[in-house]
Amino acid sequence: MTARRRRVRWPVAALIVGLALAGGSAVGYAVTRPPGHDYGAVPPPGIYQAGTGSQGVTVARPGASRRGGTAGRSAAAPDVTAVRVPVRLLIPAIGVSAPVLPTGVQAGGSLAIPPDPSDVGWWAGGGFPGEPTGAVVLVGHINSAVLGPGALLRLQDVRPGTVITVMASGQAYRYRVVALRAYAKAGLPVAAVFGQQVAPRLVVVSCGGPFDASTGHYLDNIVAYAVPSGTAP
Amino acid sequence: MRISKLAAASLTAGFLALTAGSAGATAISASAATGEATVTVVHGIPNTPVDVYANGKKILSGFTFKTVAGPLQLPAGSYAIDVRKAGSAAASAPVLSATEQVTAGENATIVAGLTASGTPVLTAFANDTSAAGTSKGRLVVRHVAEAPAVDVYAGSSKVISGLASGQQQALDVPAGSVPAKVTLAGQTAAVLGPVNVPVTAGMGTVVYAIGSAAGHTLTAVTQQYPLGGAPSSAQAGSGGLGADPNTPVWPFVLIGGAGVALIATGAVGTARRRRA
Repeated sequence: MTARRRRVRWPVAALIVGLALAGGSAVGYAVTRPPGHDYGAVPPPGIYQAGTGSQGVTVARPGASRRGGTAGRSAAAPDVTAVRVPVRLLIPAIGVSAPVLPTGVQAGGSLAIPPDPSDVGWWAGGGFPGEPTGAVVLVGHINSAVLGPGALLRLQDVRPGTVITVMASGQAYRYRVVALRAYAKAGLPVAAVFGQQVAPRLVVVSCGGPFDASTGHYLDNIVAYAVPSGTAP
Repeated sequence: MRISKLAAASLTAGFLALTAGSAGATAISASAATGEATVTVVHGIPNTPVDVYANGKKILSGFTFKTVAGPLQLPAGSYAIDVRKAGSAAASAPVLSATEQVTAGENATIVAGLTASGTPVLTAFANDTSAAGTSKGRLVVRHVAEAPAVDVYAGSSKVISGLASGQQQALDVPAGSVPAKVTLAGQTAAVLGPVNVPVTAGMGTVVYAIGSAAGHTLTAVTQQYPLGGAPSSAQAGSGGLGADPNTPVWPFVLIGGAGVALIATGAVGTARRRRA
């Protein structure tokens, strides 16, 4: 009798608990997962209407220099600018205060990332803060299997309006986020992210999305686009 | 003008490299996009603070031994470079003069150094910005000191032999810290170092041997510059858990899966019970 009773009850209990777990996890997943990474509008190329280079990257058009034509320049006194090398990235809204180290491009075209995930890399071949044109490109880890959370762990949480500050040459350069995008790595819009013939902008690149264990890399790049604070988006 | 033959050669080589590069992916850096060259200036003459002029305009003031200035962005063009003792009049006779041609996107370094016999000289070096291999950087050694030819060791292995004043040599090495030392050619006692030189992936690290061996002012300064043109990808976040760190998927899959299993078990159990 007792045995028979138990037999009657356990399938019902299993059904109820099962439904609760399945339903709860589905709801929980839906609630906690961000509705998507895309926010705002990526600022368009500003003052230049440049051609397209062999890698799909905008290249200089003769005579398009912001300082006018180059003819006869050789006799003139030069307009010398010292590069303002970024040394620290601050995004208080997501708890980022990270050292910035210069970095460059490796064979095959990938921008090298500083080995310590708590550091952020600055593409030293790209733009620098305070210039009238060009993109300051910063790149960082979400995390590292070996060394733990990266500086840009929460980059996906920035939103249009989030303030980003880049320290360079003792000055604070303030930017305001205008767009956030998630791109499949294979589909990274190289010109938008790395192109230099643009109105001044800051591009912060990190990685997110699904993790591909076979390559050891995330399949998405999270990219935050920001413009100097106070200027039109 | 007073640029050494080697400097001219290195500039020519630089231009050739740039020309070759332009067939592929070039003109993409910020400096190229704005028609500018990137120029670094190194002071390697002991006890001689100077002002540096380009086309008559003072661009560096009170520039002292062992200082690396820049990188500076200079519009492409031809420049008359004059080096005068610090604080002397702009019209006074320069200590050193040279004419430099810089092209858009070029990365160059101008060194005020000494020849092997101790004569001050301006030397222009084109910085080779071609990409190094994955996780590699470029180590460049430039001898601009009043000293005989030298050998350079990385750890215990000799990587550069017989480098004379005015010359440079480069090698691509894995990123990391390179324990380097400089000896007089053919000898083993270090005249510089050993010192750990940081080599960064995607970056060139230039070590300048400057000063005077006879004057006991031989020392080294370093400069870093970016390699590899424009990126086509960024491989951040190598390896790890928590793809979307705020919303890991696996707990939901685990719990949801357990729920589905329970539902199935319950359903089977119910069916059996009814049949019984």
